[in-house]
Amino acid sequence: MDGGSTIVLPAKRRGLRTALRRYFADPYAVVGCVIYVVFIVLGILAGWLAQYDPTEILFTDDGQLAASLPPSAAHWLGTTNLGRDIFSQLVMGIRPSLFVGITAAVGVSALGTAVGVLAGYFGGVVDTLLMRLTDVVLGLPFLPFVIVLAALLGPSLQNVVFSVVILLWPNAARIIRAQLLTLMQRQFIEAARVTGASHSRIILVHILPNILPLSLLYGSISVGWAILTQASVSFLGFGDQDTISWGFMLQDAYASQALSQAQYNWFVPPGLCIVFVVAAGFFLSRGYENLIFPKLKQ
Amino acid sequence: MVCLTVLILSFGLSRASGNLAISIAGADASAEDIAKINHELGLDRPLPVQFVDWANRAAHGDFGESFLFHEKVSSLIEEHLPVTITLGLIAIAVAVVVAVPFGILAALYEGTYIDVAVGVVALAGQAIPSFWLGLMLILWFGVGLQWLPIAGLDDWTGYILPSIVLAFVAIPVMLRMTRSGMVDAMRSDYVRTARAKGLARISIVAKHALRNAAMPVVAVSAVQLGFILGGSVVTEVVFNIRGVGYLAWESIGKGDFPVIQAVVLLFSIIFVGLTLLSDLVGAALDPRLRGR
Repeated sequence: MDGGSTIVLPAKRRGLRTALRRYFADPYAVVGCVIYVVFIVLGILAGWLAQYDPTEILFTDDGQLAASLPPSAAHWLGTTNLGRDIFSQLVMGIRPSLFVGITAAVGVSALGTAVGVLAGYFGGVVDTLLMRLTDVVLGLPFLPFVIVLAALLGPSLQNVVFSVVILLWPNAARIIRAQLLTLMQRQFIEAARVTGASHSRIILVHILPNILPLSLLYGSISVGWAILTQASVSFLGFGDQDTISWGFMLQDAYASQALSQAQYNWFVPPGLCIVFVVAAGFFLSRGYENLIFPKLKQ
Repeated sequence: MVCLTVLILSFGLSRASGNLAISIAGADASAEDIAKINHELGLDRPLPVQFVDWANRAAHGDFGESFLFHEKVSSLIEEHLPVTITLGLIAIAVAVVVAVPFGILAALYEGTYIDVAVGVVALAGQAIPSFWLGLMLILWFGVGLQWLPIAGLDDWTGYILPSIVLAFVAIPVMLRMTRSGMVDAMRSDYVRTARAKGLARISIVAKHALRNAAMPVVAVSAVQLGFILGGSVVTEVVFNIRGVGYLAWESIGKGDFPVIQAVVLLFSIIFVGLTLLSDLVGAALDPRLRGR
């Protein structure tokens, strides 16, 4: 931002520390944070942790295809029916999930904030048009639409993120607009206007800092939904077939008839990873919600 | 308004899916073959003309013919819809039966380990991808214990696992709503009055508190039914059930856009209808929501 952010309250440092202490007083928040840190570290180290190339077809010492091996010291979670190492796939699958979750969160909060602020600030026709658009998107059934969109745009992670953002922004936009309407009644906005501040200055300097906690909240809620959606789309076979993700692994296992062979080692780990990461996202946002709306906590 | 947008969207979406003529004729078909197929299907006309034509017919219940099944789209849907609706209704019933008692329990034992356990399930339950839950249930009850069939709906036992999976879409939300509604109700003045005049605890909970706490839950179950039907795309694929969700999956995979258009439209109309129903039910139960 420009020089407008010079007004830094002296107590800000202590405010941050208090906020952090209060945030981590919530057990959900702590659990969520720990899970996230673990997955992010594993995701960074994934290249080193994966003993094999996740797509490499492996052979045993005597030249046989290393297909459907049970877990062992060499293959911690066994191998797939094509002789690929499941553990290596699992750790490499962390990266697409985190990528999808984080980019979708940024997208949802950016788009939701932009629409909410524009509608609430300018009012009138802009408001009416944007809010009608919001109603329309809210009226769409989420899962079928995301699947159709992601499938038809073509199989890639970016398209999944795009589809999720396109369908999830309205919730954020609505709440942010409502918050903006109350903000607009406050005296500091009026004061800024009287001193001749431009629209962009009022929005950037006076409004955005007050809106940011809300947009972060909606962003953090979207992390989980985006990861879940990406997994579902991949499982249905409309995902990127070249990216090893948890949804792709489950689709691979399902399509290879691993169900009837009861290959728990192939089905359980990717699903558990999805559950952990997504639940951690919900835990984090719950803790955060308690922090910014202390009254809700009962 | 919403319907019009959905019409345009579902039309536009499916046309964005690439050239159908190529997928019918095969990748190495000659240019003339492709042009011929395009002409037969009316795909060489300008897009707005195609859209108006399609919307007009769709309004009369004619969605054209599936390119791949060579059957009328409307009869395809008629064939697939009952299964999906049946499963959805069973699932929402299961969700209510599970979520409401546990929500009440959590509220009555607020702050105890029961409450915490319910809270964790409500939050973490949302994190379980429904297709994976389906796979796990198949592994345990279908393959491992061999109690239940792993796919299809040959008899009533086939309905059990898919309805559990679909119910799980709605359970977390309904659990949380019941709990918070009951917590509020139990703290209210009328419950204190009822307690003060010496009513039995059971009658306070069942008559005074629950009636008030249940209103939003009943209303929201219509919306949740919409989510459950949306979730049927994934669940029907996992359990190999030939419902509308399966049909959608099949036609998306093959770019059969008359079917995609119709199914997306159908899902949207059902979803909007259920949201409206939810508002109406809410107003019917709570006079304060009426009028304005």
